[in-house]
Amino acid sequence: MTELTGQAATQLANIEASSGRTRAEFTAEIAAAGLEKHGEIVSYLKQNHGLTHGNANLVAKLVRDDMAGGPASDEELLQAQYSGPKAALVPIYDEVSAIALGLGDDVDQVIQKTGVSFRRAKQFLLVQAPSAKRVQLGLNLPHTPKDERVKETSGMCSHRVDITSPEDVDDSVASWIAAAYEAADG
Amino acid sequence: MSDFVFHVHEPEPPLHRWVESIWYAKGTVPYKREKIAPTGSTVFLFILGDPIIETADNGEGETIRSDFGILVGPHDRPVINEPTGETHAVGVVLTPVGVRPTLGMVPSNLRGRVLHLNEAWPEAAGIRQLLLGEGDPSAMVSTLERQLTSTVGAAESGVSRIESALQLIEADPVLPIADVAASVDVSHSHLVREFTYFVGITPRAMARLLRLRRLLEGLDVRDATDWADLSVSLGWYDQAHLIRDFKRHTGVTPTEYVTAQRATFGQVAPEDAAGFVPQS
Repeated sequence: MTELTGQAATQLANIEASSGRTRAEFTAEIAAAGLEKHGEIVSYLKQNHGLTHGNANLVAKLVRDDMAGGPASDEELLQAQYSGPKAALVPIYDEVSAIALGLGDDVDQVIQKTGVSFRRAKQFLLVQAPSAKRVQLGLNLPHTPKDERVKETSGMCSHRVDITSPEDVDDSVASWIAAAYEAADG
Repeated sequence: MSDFVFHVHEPEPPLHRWVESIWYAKGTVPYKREKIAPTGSTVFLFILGDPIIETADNGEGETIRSDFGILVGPHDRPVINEPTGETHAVGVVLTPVGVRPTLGMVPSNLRGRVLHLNEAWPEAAGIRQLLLGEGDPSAMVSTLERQLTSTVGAAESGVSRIESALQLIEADPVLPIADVAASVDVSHSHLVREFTYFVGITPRAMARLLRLRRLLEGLDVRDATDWADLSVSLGWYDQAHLIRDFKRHTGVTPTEYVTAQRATFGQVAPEDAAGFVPQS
């Protein structure tokens, strides 16, 4: 990300303060909205964030610089997954990722465009936000737990669990994640 | 309950930082089994008498029957304790950050689980032999305290920050976790990860169960309780949310809880009975 100096830096700081969004968040949001052209981005910012034309023009320029500057950072990818109405799902993601990362120093967290993968020798957990209502956990489990929340599935993961509230990330969910972690040992 | 012997000892520093209490119990409880609400702590017990059966996750999780010892990891659902005869045991209640230094284990791997103590912790067999060689309860407790003091690990960096966070959550369980993070000068996501690394449950889950502990410890089961009033004063959105959390952590409704406590403990419920739901 190119650093700004002088007048433009002050202008950006003011935009960030009044809109409540950082430059990285704007970039993540624009990327998630699939906008690429300067004019489209300017109109989007004016319509959705009430930016003046001059401010929208600056942000559009910076966003396009950032998007052209190679792959997005982990933070930007994660923000894009939980932007807009999906921001309400962040507490669920926080609970689940803390549990997965707490299982051992050998857990790798790989943030992708459409989900976050937690891996040991192989993937044991995939966390996605398919709608604004739920976070979906894909687990690789050797056995099906006796709980109606766990659905058998096929493909990358053996089981699927939908979580709609952070309170639902309880002992059972933690024990399924731990069981998937143990099974992913080579 | 008069023939039930129960002593609680608070260890001296430096062990006290990791071990909240060591208890000794001997006697027969006047009921078949009990649900025990979570405190946020990991507990392990050496069984010296008849076998004890423990089941995790309000009876839906793993079941262990042991005449040696049981380790109960950090949990947010009730554990079911079922003595098969006379209870004779020495137990250790760890502080929320005590698992790593005391047992050298990863707390997240123990969450919501009950384990055979001898399989989980190799040192347990030697310690249990020492306990069996002691004549009286206070000698057993001192021996256990000495053993734990001699084997406990050093404090890892970051643990004091989590101890501060725990103090803030205990003082005010309704405090947003973002505010706790700001008070200890780390980002929200850093706090959640570091807390879970040391404690095994997330700060949000801990805050939820500590709020319910506060309710249970302040509850006088002999009196009529205004649940609507109580839910508001302790920061629940409404009575329905209080009942949902109550069931999650105790395994029963408030009414069932009060009825069970009255039936067993009569007019004078002991202070340390908070969170226990005896079942005939």
